[in-house]
Amino acid sequence: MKRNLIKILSLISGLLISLVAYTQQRFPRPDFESEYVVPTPHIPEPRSATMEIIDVFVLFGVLSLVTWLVLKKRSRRGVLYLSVFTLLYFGFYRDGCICSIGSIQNVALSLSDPGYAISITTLAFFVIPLIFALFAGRVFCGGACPLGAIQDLVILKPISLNSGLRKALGLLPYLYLGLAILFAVTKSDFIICKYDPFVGIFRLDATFQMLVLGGSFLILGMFIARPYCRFLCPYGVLLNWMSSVSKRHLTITPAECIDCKLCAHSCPMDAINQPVFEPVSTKGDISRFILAVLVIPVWILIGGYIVSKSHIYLSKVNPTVNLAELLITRPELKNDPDHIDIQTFMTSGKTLETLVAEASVIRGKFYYGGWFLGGFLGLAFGIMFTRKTIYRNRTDYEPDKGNCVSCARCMDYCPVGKPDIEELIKLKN
Amino acid sequence: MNNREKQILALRTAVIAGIFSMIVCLILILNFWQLQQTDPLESELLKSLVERLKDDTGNEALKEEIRRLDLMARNAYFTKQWQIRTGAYLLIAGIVVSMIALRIFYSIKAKIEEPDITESRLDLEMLISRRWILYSVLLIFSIALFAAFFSVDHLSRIYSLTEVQEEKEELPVQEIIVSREDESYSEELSSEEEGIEKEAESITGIDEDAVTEADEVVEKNGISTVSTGKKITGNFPAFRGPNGLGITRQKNTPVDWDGASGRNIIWKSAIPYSGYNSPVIWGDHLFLTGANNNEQFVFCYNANTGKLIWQHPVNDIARPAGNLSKPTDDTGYAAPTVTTDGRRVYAIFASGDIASVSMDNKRIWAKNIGIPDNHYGHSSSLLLWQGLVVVQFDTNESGKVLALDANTGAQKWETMRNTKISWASPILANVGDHVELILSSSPLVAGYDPNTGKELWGMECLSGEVGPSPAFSDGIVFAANEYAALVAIKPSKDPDILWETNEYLPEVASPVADNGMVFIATSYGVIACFDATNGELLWEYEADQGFYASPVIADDKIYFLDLDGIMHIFKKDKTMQLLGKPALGEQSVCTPAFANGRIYLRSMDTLYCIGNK
Repeated sequence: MKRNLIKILSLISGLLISLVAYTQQRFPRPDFESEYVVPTPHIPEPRSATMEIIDVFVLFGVLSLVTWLVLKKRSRRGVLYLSVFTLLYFGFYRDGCICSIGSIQNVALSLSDPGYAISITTLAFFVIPLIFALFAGRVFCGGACPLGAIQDLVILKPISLNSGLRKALGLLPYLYLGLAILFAVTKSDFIICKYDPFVGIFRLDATFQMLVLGGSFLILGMFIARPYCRFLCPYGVLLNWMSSVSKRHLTITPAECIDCKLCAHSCPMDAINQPVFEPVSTKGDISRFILAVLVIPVWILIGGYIVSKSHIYLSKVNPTVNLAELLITRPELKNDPDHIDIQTFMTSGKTLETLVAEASVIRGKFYYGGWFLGGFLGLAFGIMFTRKTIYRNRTDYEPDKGNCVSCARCMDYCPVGKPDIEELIKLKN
Repeated sequence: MNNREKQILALRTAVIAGIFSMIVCLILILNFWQLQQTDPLESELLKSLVERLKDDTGNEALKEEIRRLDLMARNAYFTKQWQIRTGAYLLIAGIVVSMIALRIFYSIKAKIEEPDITESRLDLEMLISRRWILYSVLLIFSIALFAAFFSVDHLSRIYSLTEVQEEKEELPVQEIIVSREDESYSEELSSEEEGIEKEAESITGIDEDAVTEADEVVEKNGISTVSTGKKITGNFPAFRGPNGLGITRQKNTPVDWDGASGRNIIWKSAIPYSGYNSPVIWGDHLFLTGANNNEQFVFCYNANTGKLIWQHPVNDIARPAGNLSKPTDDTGYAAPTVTTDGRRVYAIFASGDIASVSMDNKRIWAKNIGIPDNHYGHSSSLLLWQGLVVVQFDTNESGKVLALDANTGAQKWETMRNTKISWASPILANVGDHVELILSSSPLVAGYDPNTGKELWGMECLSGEVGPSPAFSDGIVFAANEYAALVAIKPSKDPDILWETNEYLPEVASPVADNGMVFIATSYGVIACFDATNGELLWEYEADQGFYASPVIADDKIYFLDLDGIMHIFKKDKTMQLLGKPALGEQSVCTPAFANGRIYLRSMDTLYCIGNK
């Protein structure tokens, strides 16, 4: 009863908080009939470049500290407190921007457009966590990501998801990454930033829909740990790759595992791999593995073909394409004074034919980009599928190097290296 | 404090914080609902008082009441904002406390789980995982294929769509009342008048037979696609008449009236907003514009009765960044004259706003072509050519001429000109085997292809601030400006100046030419007639007042309206023959318009219709 009451309270509070920003409105400028000229508003100065450099050093410092806490000190409490600091600094103080997740788009755009200048800070936010992941695992997710921190802090009663469902949902980050890069490269949109569910909470200001989205993720996060990190975060794909081959990584036990199984369900993210003592690969398994590998190029081609065919649909995200199609399908909007985009175009002096030509070029980019996106998805799927055809020998309970977010929760469950077991048994009783 | 006590404390703290958060939420919801119901910024009372003030601008008590109510509304708004923000912080604090307390509660309550006894089937798990992955990918690819199959590429439809739209475009059915079929508008033309008609019709590119057939189709269906030559020349559709030449086909135009007594004044109507643009007439529709620094209007009057049929506000047009300089009092915000093709009227204002309005007061399109950097105010009038609205847009920043699609407002072409600012208007002239758009400015007088905007010829021959528009007759272009010259140019790839004189030069009024004569009206009161072939002064006349309105030739007469509203009417002849000096009784700067056998004059704030009663 009490548990249900608490859940209901939390649920309603999370939804209602979204109304806060929705009620904010703009105050209309009064109409002056006299000769009074409304002064031109001054745009505030951008944040000092020095402060941005400081942010990079703070990020580096936090990552270093998390790495030490996870690998050396093995302190879940330390990681927790550092997460709170990350949430307050990178989340509420820095308004969630610049973040490493969104920097993917900046990097992608800078690689495709020589005229786009990416700042050193953004590049640093993109590269530094990846380097740390290469050497120490996903320590960025554990204590340096504000999105991860806010989700981590609301975990109350996590439930374990079916492994098949986890794998299926695990495809979404690849899709999101591919789309984010495609839209960034075609200068259509920065969807990672646009659909960041928590940025509205960090800034205490967002549209109603965004706050509902953020609140929903938080409520979901109370019962399904870190849903955004596990099933959407595009940066997590890159961290996954780096962490999978990392030199060092968080381990549950500081020494040899005693197979007490106490940590088996300690991870709310289901990121602990059970030991496999006897390899069970049969001839069928080997054939299946070989077939899966051989079919990967086919998946790449199929994926590329299908997604490239969707270029018309995907390109509608681009504002130029969208405007051109709007003017063609609804020419009466030219007389609508409230439609700012159309009125801006009408006063620009550009002809519709020119606009359509520009839109057609962009649509062509989506066609070729669709091949890359579909091929990438096909490759990701093929590799994911192939990995599920082979068995790996494993003697200990180990965190999955790619999926483990280095939150250090599992360490508290391992009795090895802690005060003697009898003391623990006494505490349990 | 033992763990049990800590647990209870944490739980109670979580519950209390949760209830507190709920109460704050409810208050915020109530606040939000209240705001939705009675938004202080949308007070109906305030709106009604503001409307009343428009009709009673001198009411100080009313103004004070509005200010008081407005201040109350603003206070209420900002109070609500404070309430919302404070409530938000309280809510966040409550939720944070609740969450911390819950975490403490659950951490104390947490037990180490018993290890699983049963071993999971790894091969089964792998199989399930593979299937989930496969089904998910198939789902994603299916969605992508579905989206691809049902997506419509609208971009490729543009060209076919444009044609279909042009075919299907339903124009308002207009009962086009052609001018009265009596002696005032005769279809029996003299050879000279036939020449005028043929020239005007040749400018539209339509021969007489086609015009006749087209006219029948138009009369039958009430739908017009391109206005025919006869209809253009039979009306007064632009500044200085058909094609801007200052010549009209009207017959039996009056020579005598008196504004003060009302003699031969058929009607007069007040004009709600001031403007120095001239009347434009099509059938029984008369168009004007008026504007101030806040509002811009197109007015449509019944040309037979003087009743204001409608007024169309030209507002809410997105403008580029920049401030509109206040025009001088003698130019105002509505100096350019409108133009019409019988389907729509096209108007431009000092703000650079340009609009198309149908005969039944529907806005077809409106846009801003740039805020003109013009120290007096933009005054170049519009002209129509084969579905294009031509705009002479010479400003302090640059000189250019552009053409907009009359149906959509989309720019069809633009030609930059190496000129200074000007206030002249374009004309259309048949120079032999083709029609040219001729513009006058400093220093350039030039001819352009009206279809493409390509400059065909140019002659640098003027200086100063050019206000008068060019004239054209018998293959010769006449351009003039005070303190510069009156120049006769033979247009061609290598244009020649045939002659020039600086004896009498106009400042504002445009010259007019016909039958080997060029007529000038100066701002210091002199009317002069020159021989068009050699520039010889044929006759001159001195009035008591200067001329801003441009002279117009009608019915073998030439009409000069001076600033005092006196019309000096001469016979169109190489000898001076004054036919009359009727007086309007009011000052006037606007060029007269001729239609329906009548003359339409605009004074500062009144519109007159003059005709033989």
